Amino acid sequence: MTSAGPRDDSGAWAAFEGEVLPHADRLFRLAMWLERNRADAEDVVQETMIQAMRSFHRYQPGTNCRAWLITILQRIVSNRRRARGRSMVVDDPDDRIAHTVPFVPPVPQALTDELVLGTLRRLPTAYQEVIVLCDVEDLSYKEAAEALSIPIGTVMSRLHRGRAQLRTELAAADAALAGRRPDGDAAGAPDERIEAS
Amino acid sequence: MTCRDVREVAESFLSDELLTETNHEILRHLETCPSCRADMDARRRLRSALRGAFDRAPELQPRAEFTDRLREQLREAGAHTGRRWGGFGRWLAMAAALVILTGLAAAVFLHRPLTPAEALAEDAIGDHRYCALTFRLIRHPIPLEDAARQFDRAYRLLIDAPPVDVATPDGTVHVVERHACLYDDRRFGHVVLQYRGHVVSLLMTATEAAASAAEPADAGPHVLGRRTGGLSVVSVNGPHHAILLVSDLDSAALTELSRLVSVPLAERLEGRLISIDVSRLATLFAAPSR
Repeated sequence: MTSAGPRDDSGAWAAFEGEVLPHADRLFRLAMWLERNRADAEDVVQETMIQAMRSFHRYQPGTNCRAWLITILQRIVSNRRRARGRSMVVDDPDDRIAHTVPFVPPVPQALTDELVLGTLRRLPTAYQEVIVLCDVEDLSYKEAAEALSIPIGTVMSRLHRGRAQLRTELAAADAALAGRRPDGDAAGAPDERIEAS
Repeated sequence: MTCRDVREVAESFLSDELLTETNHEILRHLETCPSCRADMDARRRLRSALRGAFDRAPELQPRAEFTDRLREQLREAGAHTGRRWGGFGRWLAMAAALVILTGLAAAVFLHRPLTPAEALAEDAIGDHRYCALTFRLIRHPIPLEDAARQFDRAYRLLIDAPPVDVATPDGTVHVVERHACLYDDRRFGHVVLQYRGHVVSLLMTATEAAASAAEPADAGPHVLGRRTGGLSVVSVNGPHHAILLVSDLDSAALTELSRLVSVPLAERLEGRLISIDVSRLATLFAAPSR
């Protein structure tokens, strides 16, 4: 894209439009999830796009454009959180979150959108963020680490704990819906306790 | 590879984060293990459900008019910004290089280079503006504990000093936030203060030999650099660190505040006395706790 010959402004816009704008909807969904408010999400996406436009010359064609945009978006969201509460740098959320999830229950058979999103929303924010970036937005661990400005090891440990907690909460929510206990066979999936092999 | 091994790396396998050899080992295991196949399918199903829920949830979808408006705004912004907004093609790189060379030539011929002290003042003002006032640092601030471990032990001092509230004759100095941050490759221990309705940054940074040589190490608070954009910097220098206050307060008020807040920190930091009214400070700070 950028390695081609001279281009005029319309070429610049066409490149930006072709490469960046298709991601606007997904960026909005991520912003909406993080901000929980439509007006704020729109502001965040708009600011992300304007910053992307300003620094589009630094974008390397052929690399993951969505990851690049998400990194910009996460920084904007993070700055807004700081501006609102000045709370994000005080300590590591991992210190406040229970570190062990002793048993990972089966994934319920019936996974409705409402159940999945409602359960995800109940996780600590630090876990929600890595799960959304890696499992929904399909960022690599390295890309997620860069987007969140945290070490890659922290991404991996948060993912591990977050996914385990998500499954535990899903099973509990599913059991509650079905009026059964989570330690029974309510989920209906194969027993996933590991046997030595 | 055992079932336990497979379960431990199952998510990384699905995320394509493993070495090819490990992927092959997992695939071989899955061929013969129905329990792990079911587990892997369940994990896939959960991811797929998450993605689908995000794509479908009505509350997460943008309004059509927002998307249209955004596209128009960006097109307009692009047109106004003109050729500055993107690097498209070799000509732009050449043009940029020419502009930079011209700028450098102008800088060389028209302006003397900044002294280390002036550069420090400029960075301090930049950090105050972009970190404390507008929250637009490129890199996130990190906890002081982490910065002390990784970069400079001196930052430990700022974990509990100055205390949350410091009473002064002109009002209380209140600590709003503590962290370490980076501005233009210069690292700062940063305590954001509120004083008489103004935001004041207390910044601690290691000083280069040249900067230290330019400023007497035992000097009391002194104004550093020029007042820029309505912001002043007052510095207290130790042999290895400077403790700076940045604010839109006038220089006299900032200097007075520096006597009350920065000087005791410098004393604790360097383990030495600076010529100040010690009796006035004795009540402000408790002895170091560690």
